[in-house]
Amino acid sequence: MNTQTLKSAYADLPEPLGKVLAEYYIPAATAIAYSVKAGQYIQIIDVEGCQCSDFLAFAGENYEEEVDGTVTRTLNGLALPQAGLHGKYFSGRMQPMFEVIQDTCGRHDSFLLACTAQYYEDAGYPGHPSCSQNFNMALQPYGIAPRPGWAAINFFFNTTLDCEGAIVAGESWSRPGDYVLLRASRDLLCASSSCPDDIDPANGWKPTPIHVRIYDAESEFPKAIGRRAAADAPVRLTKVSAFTNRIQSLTDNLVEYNGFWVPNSFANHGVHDEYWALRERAVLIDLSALRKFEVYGSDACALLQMAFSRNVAKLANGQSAYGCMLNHHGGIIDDGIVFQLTDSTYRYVGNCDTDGDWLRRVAGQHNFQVLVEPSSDRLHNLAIQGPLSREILRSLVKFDPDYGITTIDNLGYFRFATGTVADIPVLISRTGYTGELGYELFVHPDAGEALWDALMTAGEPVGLMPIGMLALDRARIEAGLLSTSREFDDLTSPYQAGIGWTVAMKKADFIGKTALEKIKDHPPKVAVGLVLEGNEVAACNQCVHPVDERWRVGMVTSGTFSPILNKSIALAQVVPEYAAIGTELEVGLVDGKIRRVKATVGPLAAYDPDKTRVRS
Amino acid sequence: MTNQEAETTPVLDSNQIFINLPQYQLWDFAGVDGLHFAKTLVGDAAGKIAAFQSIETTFGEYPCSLLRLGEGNFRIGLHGDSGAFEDAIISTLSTYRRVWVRRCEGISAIAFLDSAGLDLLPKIAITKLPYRLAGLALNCAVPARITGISVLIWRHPLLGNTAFELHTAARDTEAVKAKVWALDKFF
Repeated sequence: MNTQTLKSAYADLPEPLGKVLAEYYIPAATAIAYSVKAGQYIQIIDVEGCQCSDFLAFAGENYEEEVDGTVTRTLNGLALPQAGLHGKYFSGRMQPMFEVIQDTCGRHDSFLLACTAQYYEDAGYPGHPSCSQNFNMALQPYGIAPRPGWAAINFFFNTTLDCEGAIVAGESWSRPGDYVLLRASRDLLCASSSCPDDIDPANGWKPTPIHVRIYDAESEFPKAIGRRAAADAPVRLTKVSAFTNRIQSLTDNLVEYNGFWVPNSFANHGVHDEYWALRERAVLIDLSALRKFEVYGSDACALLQMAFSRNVAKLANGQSAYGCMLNHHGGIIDDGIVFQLTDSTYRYVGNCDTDGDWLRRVAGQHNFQVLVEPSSDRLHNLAIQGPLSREILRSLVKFDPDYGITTIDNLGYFRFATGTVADIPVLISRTGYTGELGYELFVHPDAGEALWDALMTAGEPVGLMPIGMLALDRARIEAGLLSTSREFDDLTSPYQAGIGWTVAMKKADFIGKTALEKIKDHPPKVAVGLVLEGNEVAACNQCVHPVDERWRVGMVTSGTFSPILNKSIALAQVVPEYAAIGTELEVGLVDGKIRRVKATVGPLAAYDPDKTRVRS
Repeated sequence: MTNQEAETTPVLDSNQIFINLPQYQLWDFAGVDGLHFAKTLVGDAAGKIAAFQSIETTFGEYPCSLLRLGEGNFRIGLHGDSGAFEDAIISTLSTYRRVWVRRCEGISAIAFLDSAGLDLLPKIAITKLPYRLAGLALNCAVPARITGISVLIWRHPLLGNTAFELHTAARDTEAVKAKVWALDKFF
């Protein structure tokens, strides 16, 4: 069937990703077998959405080697391979069979068999077609013996492990046009199905076709994970930043973070020495995954007063403030920084694409005369942090006169100015996420590599090096800085998360104020720092108990071993009655019962709690 | 040649590839208290290296190399008599109980000169991402495979000279040596 015919077969067939070598139409509730050569790409498309497609792959002259889900899970340390470093599927002989290059759905099954006749029989549907039976028929011409059930990779099949260990299946998360793009690591015989299951929600009670395209081995498709920022948002594939090329020359250890490829650590280095470079010298960190929004107009300040927790009216031009955006029940939508560029022009830097939608919605509800525009694509940011960061920048920076800053030494904490670094236009902000003296440089992506090179060259004599997310995470826990989904979500108030100080309660009105007035005096939990006895590290969600009591008073949100303090530390949220500095508590390790470790409540920031270093 | 140079010039084996490592021992220790154990043995520098990084130090009068393998996992390559080292282990273990220490009887070390390693290893060793053999810095290591045999490739000063030290299961030592030797002969 040619492409034109296929397009008429289903209206919403997405455009090919490249030059198509072959394509296969898999009618609803059937399966096919097809061959691919090493290096070729296989795109499996859920045309109408909510349709599972089970997948088998065989290698070897007699198809004797096949994909093994258990080997794959073990070698990747993941329930399911993801595009990126851990994207390969392996055979029982531990050899790579194929690799996930792109995935716009993100929810598949690698635990269960392709559906079997027995599944339907046990449910009262004897004779119902099954993927396993369909595979048997499709593979019979290749001399592959039938099986009652095939251990397939079940793309788009929504299964997960619940807290009791049960494998729970539900309606597919796949939407029309969602796909997985695989690259064959060797010559393969493949089989793909359109799952015939119509007796439960797996396929939305109505099986639909699957479409498979094969692309040439010479094609080049970037590795990417597709995510939707909101229910109605389009899929966004993982992006690279202005600095990714430089980073990739120094490491292969990249992970997806908030829609960008970011380094975990660097080759010839690692979390510990990268951490020490930050604490003792200076480091570069690619923070382009942050989201930026320009907020401007006569009511820009009024909008931010309503939507942001800080008193923005108190800011001067060239000043910024850390705070959070709140919902009506006082939960944190996002944390971020507002920069006042002029009296009517602000920039919000946060974590979520949806922040702009929220600001526009609030503006609409209050008839504010303001525009909110995303600027993430034209502003990438590189942080230079560490005690020597100022020294490195000193000879490179020239400030514009607009903000009254003449030298880097004049730039105060939470102040910013425009200017150049090595003649590259930047906005220089004295902010960071490390607990050290540091700066964040906002630059147009076109100049990103030049900025990276200039800083690396200037910093080389004093040992400047880039660091990855692992070292950054250790530093931010020491500094008591919050991480989305660890320390807060939209059910967590700033008082619980430890940033109650960012709430300007004296403001006339702001979203969440009424709720926070009630929460403030006795939040259900408050954030504390813990210093643990011994060297074991606590993990997120481990329980915090009073000494010698069974019942809980809180949970660990983040834990690490602090190299500079030489102690195991944690961030935790505990009930206020047990939050006083010096209170002795216990953290339940392992299963929470085998080993209780004493922990003492301290300030949220175990390292430099008075912030002398960032203010130095 | 000075006495100092005479002491540190590596002696090659009869194939003129491998560095002889007389009285060289590998010791492993690991556990919750592994880092603190390492710091007690060789000083705070142990805490400043990442996994698969190493430092050169001395233990008593003997040179030794400390390679970090994980958060609390370390390997020491020790030249000379291990008596003082064993005494120190016993003493340190009385402070840090949540760590095990053992001499690596099942692992052997194969060493060759830096130039030979730079030339030969890229031809036969395969690393798994994200590890990179290309550009392997001094005092760094990577896990790799040579014709399917697991090796840890470690580039660090050895007897005063930059060298590549390969750790492999003792039973695979001759196979790895044969592969390296054959390649060296071929090229």
